[in-house]
Amino acid sequence: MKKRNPAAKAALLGVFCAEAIAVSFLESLLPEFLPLPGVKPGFSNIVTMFCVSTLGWQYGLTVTLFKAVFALLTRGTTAFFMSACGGLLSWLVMVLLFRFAAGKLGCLGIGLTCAVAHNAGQLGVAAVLLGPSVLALSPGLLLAGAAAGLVTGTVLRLLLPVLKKQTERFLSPPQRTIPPKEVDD
Amino acid sequence: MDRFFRKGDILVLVLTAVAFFLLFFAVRSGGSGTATVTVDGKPYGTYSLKTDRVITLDTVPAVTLEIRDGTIAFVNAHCPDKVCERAGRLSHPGDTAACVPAGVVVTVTGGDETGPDAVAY
Repeated sequence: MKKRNPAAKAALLGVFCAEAIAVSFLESLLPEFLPLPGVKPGFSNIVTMFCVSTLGWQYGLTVTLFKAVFALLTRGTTAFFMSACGGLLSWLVMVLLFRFAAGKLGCLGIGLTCAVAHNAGQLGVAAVLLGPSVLALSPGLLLAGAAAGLVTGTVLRLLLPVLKKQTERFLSPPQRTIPPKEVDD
Repeated sequence: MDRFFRKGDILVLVLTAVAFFLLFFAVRSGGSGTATVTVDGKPYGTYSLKTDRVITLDTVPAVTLEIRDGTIAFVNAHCPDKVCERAGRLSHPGDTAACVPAGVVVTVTGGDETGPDAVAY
C-alpha cells in the first residue's frame, strides 16, 4: 500500500476507536435476552475485525487496547482485565486467521472463531481471579460466543462496503492539485 | 474476508459443536445436589441444596447466598451491577454464578438429578 499520511492514520484510528466504544455502549442498552447474565453480542468486534483484515494488526491492537483502557476508566480494574484478555486473545486469533486462513474462511467462520476466542480469554481471566469453578460456565459461553460470532460476522459482511468507503475517505483524501470539481459528498 | 461463506466455515461450525458437547458433558458429571462455594479461588464450603438456609460471606462487598427449594441464589448483592443476582436460582448440575467484585463463585454439582433436557420458549 502507498505511504499514508500520519495525521490521516491517527484520525482514522480515532474514528475506529470511537466506533468501537459507541457500539459497546449501545449494545449495553439492549435488554438482557439470554439466560446467561452479562453475555453481550460483542458488536465492537466488527470494528476490530475490519481493522485487522484491511488495515493491519497494529490498528486492531490499538482499538483493542483502547477499549480495555476505556473499560478501566469507566468500569474499574476487573472490567479492564476481562476486556483486555478477551480482546487480546480474540485479536491474536484474528491476526493468525487472516495470515494463515485468509482464503479458507468466510465472514461467518472468522466472526465465530473471534467471538469464541474473546469469551475464552474472559473466562481465562475469571478462572484466574475466581478459581477453576467458573469453567463450569464454558459450554454456555461457547454457545453464546458462537451465536454472537455468527451475528457479528454477518453484520461485518454487510458493513464492509461502508467501512471501506470510510477508510478510503481518510487515507486517500481528494488531491488538492486536482480541480475541486470531483468533491463528492 | 470479502466472502460471506466459505467451505472452511463448515469445519469451524463442526469443531464448535464438538467442543460444546465435550465441555457440556465434562461439566455435567459430578456429585449430587450440592453447591460448592469458592472465595478468591479457594474452596469455602460445600452445601447440600436439600436443607434451606442462608449463608453470609464476610467478603467485600458482602455476599449473601440463599438455599431454598433445592436451589441456590445470590441475594441482596452489595455491588452496583448485580450480575450475580440476575443469574437467578441455580439448581442443575453445572449451573454457575459468580460475583466478580467479591471473588465468590457458586457451582451446583450433582449427577443423578432428573429434569427436562431442554426447554423451548
